[in-house]
Amino acid sequence: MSSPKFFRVESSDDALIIAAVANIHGLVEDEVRDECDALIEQLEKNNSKHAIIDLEALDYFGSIMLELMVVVWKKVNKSGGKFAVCSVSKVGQEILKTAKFDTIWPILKSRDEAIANVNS
Amino acid sequence: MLPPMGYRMMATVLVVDDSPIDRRLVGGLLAKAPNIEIVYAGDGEEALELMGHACPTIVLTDMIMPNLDGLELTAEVNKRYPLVPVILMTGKGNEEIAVRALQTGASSYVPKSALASMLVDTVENVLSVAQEEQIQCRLMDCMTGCQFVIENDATMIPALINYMRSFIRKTKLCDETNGIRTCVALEEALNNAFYHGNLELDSKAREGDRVIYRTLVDQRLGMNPYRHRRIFVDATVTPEEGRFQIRDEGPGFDPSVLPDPTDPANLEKPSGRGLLLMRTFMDDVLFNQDGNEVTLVKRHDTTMSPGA
Repeated sequence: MSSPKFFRVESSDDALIIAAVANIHGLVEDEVRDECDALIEQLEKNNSKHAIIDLEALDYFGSIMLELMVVVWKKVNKSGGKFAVCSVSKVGQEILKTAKFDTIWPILKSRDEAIANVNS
Repeated sequence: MLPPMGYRMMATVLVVDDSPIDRRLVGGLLAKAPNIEIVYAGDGEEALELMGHACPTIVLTDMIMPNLDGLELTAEVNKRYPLVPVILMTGKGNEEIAVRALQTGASSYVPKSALASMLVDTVENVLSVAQEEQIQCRLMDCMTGCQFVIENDATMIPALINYMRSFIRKTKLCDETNGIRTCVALEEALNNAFYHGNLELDSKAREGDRVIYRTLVDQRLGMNPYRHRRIFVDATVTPEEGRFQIRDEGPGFDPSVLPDPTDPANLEKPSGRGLLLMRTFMDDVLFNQDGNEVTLVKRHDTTMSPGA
C-alpha cells in the first residue's frame, strides 16, 4: 500500500484529517495522482466517512492542490460523507474563493471547528 | 583592483554590556584587530536604539543586563536585522544559556573567562562570514532581472518558484502577500508551459484514468519532439512593474477556448483553473499570437517604500 508523501493523515471519529506538510510546493502535477490514490486508500482503510483538509502548513497552493481536494471531496460526497477545509491562509482563502469552492465547501478557521462541522 | 589576501573591509562592532569595566576590557581587546570601529551600548534597549540610527556589522553582547538581556536582544536583532550576527559573552556556568542563545539565533559565544584568548578570533571569523553575506545581499539589491532556460523537468518548478519569491522580495516589487499571489500565478504559468505547452497534454486527459495520464506524461518525457523542449523564463522589475515572461516550445493554445472553471457545471473539472488564478492575482496576463508565451504583469506596490 502506498502512503501519502505530502500529507500527514490522522483519524478523528468518522473523519480522516489530511494535513498538508510544508513541502507540498514540491508536488508536481503527475504526482498528484499518486497522492490521490494514497489518500483514497487511507479513507477506505480507516472506514472514514468524512474528510477534512488541514492547510495550516501552507501559505499558498495552486490548481494542483485544488485538483487533489476535488478528488477527495468527490470520494466522500459519493458515499454520503462530509468534506471541510480548515486553517487556510489569506491567499489560500482567495484561491478557494476565486475557484468558487467557498460556495460548496465549508472553510473553517480551526481543525476543531472542522471536526465539529463534519460530525454535526 | 582586487583587495589583497586577508583584507577585510572596515567593520563596526556594537559592544553591549552594562559593566563599564567589561566594556573597556572588550574594547581594548578588539582594538588589536585591524579595520574595526567600536561603538558601545549599556543594555539591549540602548543597543536597539543605536541600531535604529546606524546598523553595525555585528553585535557583541553580554548575557545578563537590565531592561533587555542578551537573549532578548539576540531575538530582536534576528527579527529586525537578519543579516547582523550576534556574538554572546557568557559568564561562568552559563553554558546552558549559551546553548539557548545559539538556538535563539546567536552566531557564536565566547566565555567571559576566555575573552583574552578567544574574542578577537571569534569576532574575525563571524565578521568574515557576515560581510560576505551582506555584500551578496547588496548585490542582489542591485538586481533588476533574471533569465532561466530550464529543461522540461517539473521538479525544477518548485525551486524556480522559491527563487522567484526571493527575487520579488529583494526587488521590493510588492509586499509579502502580493509576492505570494505572484508566485501562485507563476507556478500556474510554469505548470502550464510544462504539461500543456511542451508535453501537449490536454487538461481533459486529467479527467480520465489517472494511471493512463501518468503513463502519458512519462512516455512524452522520453519521446521526440517533447523531450528536448525547454521553458524560457525572463523576469524584469522596473520602478513601475514586474514583468514575467514564460515561453514553452510547444505549438501553443488558444486561451479563449478554455471553459469557465467557475461555472457550476465545470467546478469538478481541472481545466482552466490555472489561467483563472493567473488572471486573478496578476494585473495583466498577455499571450503571444501563437499561445506559447504568457507575460504576467504585476504593477509596483505603491505601499512599499524603497527602503522597506
